This record gives sequence, structure tokens and C-alpha cells, in this order.
Amino acid sequence: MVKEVKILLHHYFYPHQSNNYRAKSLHHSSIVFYIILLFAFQLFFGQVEHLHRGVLGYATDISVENLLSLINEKRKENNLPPLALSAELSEAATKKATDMFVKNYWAHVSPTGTTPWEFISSSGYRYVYAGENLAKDFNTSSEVVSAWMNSPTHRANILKPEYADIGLAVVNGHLNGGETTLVVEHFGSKMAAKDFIKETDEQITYNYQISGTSAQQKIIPLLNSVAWSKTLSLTVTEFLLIVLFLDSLYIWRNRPVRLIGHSLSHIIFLAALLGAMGATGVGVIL
Amino acid sequence: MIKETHFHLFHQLLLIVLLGFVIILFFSFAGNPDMQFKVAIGTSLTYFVWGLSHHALEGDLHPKIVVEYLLIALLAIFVLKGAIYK
Repeated sequence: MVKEVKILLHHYFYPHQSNNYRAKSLHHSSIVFYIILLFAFQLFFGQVEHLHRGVLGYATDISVENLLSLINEKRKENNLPPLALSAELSEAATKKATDMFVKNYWAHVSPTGTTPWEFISSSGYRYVYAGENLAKDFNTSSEVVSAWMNSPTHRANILKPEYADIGLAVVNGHLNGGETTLVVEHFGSKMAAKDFIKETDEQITYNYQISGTSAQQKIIPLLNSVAWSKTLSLTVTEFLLIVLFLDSLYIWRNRPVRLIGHSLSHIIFLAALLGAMGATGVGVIL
Repeated sequence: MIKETHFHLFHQLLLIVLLGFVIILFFSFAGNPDMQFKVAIGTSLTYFVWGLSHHALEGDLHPKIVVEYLLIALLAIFVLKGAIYK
């Protein structure tokens, strides 16, 4: 029994007479199998997400409280006063997030030409300075703030001394066919009361139905396609790296003559893919 | 023998430099999945061409080797696609 298992392990993972001196898991047929497996997996989750939107979820741990706390920490580190959470700016941010889901866009200006300033003004916030940062597809509050701080323009917004207030909205919904979490951040500083001129602004009414839910109501996904997809990619790459390493070890010890590609080159290539994967699957900022 | 070692060393170093550049590109396009996927396709093509050139210069380019590099390049595209897209 032990001998059979040993032979089987050798056959699949180590060069041996039974596998023509190359692990069976490195044969062309095996590589075709990994390609089909990855393709089928990606196709399956793509179809499930398209046909049954409720099944796949998007688990995020982003909250207004954490975002506010992290942003104010960054301001404190730069000797700036903290920003106060404004109900009006938060309302404007929520309207903007809802508008993006309803009109299915990802931009500072909507396809119908609505600017962030119109959302801010319509919420009743009279600003002297105002700004907007957007983020989507992130998993945690710290990832969002880190991405903003790594971008010079977003960082400038967070650390702008003129701003006194902040409005935040974290909304889950469907954008461009996929489940996502949108984070909208509106900055502002109010016009002094004496500067107010009584004016009758045109009231902008919003009849949009909120297609998403607040991300603070944490979504528990039945299947998390994002995590599964990346995990499968990592598993296949790491598995091949191990088998190729064993193969290289055999070549180094026995120096056989084989008409195949160089295992060392494949190792370098797959290791680079692992490195590149470190930069994938993160969110997007705007 | 020494000439052969130098040949392999030069080619492996060239591959490492190329792939190092690919990693830099991936990080500079973090948050831009479409650009990362284009880089992934470019990387796979580069590796395929590198593999064929290396074996052609080595004098052992065989259809079996061409298929092997083609499959590894294809596998890389699917591996990276799974990691890139949410």
C-alpha cells in the first residue's frame, strides 16, 4: 500500500520512469487541464453573477466611522485640524453614489452633466471650497484611505487646509454588471452666515430608487467569486512552482537529456506572475 | 561549457529584467484592471517569444517545446485574468 502511494506520488510529482522522467502534473495534458479548470471556473462565476445577482455577494468591511477616523488621523499627522462629519455633505455623497448606480456610471460628472457641486448645493450646503474623492471595489476602510493617500490629487483633497467638513457615503449596489461598493467622499468649507444672499435656488428632486444597501449593513455572500477566483489562480501557480522546483532538483542531481522547456525559466516566469498578482484585485479610485 | 553557461546566464538575466519590468507595470496600473490585463497578455506573448528564441539559439527547438511554451503562456493569461478581475 505504502509502496503504491509512493509510486503514485512519484508519477504525478517527480520525474520517474513511469512518467518519462517528467512529473505527470507538468505534462502538456495536465497544463491543458489547468487551463480548462481556470476557464470553466471564471466562466461559471461570470454566468452566475450575470444570471443570479443575489447569489454572489461582495463582502466589504468599509464604514463611515472608520473612514472618518482614518482621514482625521492623516490630517493630524500633517498638523491639520480634523474634519467634522456634515449631515448635508453626507446626504450629497449618498445622492451621488445612488446616482452612479441608477445611471450606471463611474465618473465625477454624470452622463447627464450633473457635477459634484450640484449634489452638494442641492443638499443645502453653501460652500466656499468643495471637493470630491471616489473609490470602488475596495474591501476595507484602510485600503480606501491608503489608495487615496498614494494618489497626489486625492491626497491633496484629504490634506487641504481650507476644508472644515466632510460627507461620506458607503453604498453597495450593481455597477456595470457587477456587485460593488462605492465610497463617495465630499469635502467642503461653509460660506460664513453673513455672506449668505437670500436666493431661491431651483430645487433638485431626486426620485432615484436606491438600488444598493448601506455597506455598513454587511453583506454576507453565499459565494465570494473575487476571493475564490484569485485563490484558485494563486493555488495553481504555487502548485506548479513546487512541482517545477522538484523537477529542477532532479535535473541538478541527475542531469538527464530531455527535449522539453527549461524548468528554471518556468519557475522565474511563474514567480513573476505571483509578484504581479500582489498588485491585482485592489479597488479603483477616481 | 563556459560559453554555454554564459549563454544561459545572459538569457535568464534578460528574462528576469523583462519580468521585473512587468511587475513594475502591474503595480503602476494597480486599480486599472483593463490595463493590467493588457500587460498580462503582453507578458505571456513575451515569454512565448523568449522561450522560442532561447531554444532556437540553443539549437533544440522542437514542436513539443513550442507547444509547452504556448501552453504556459496561455495558462499565465488565465491565472492573471482570475486575479485581476473582480
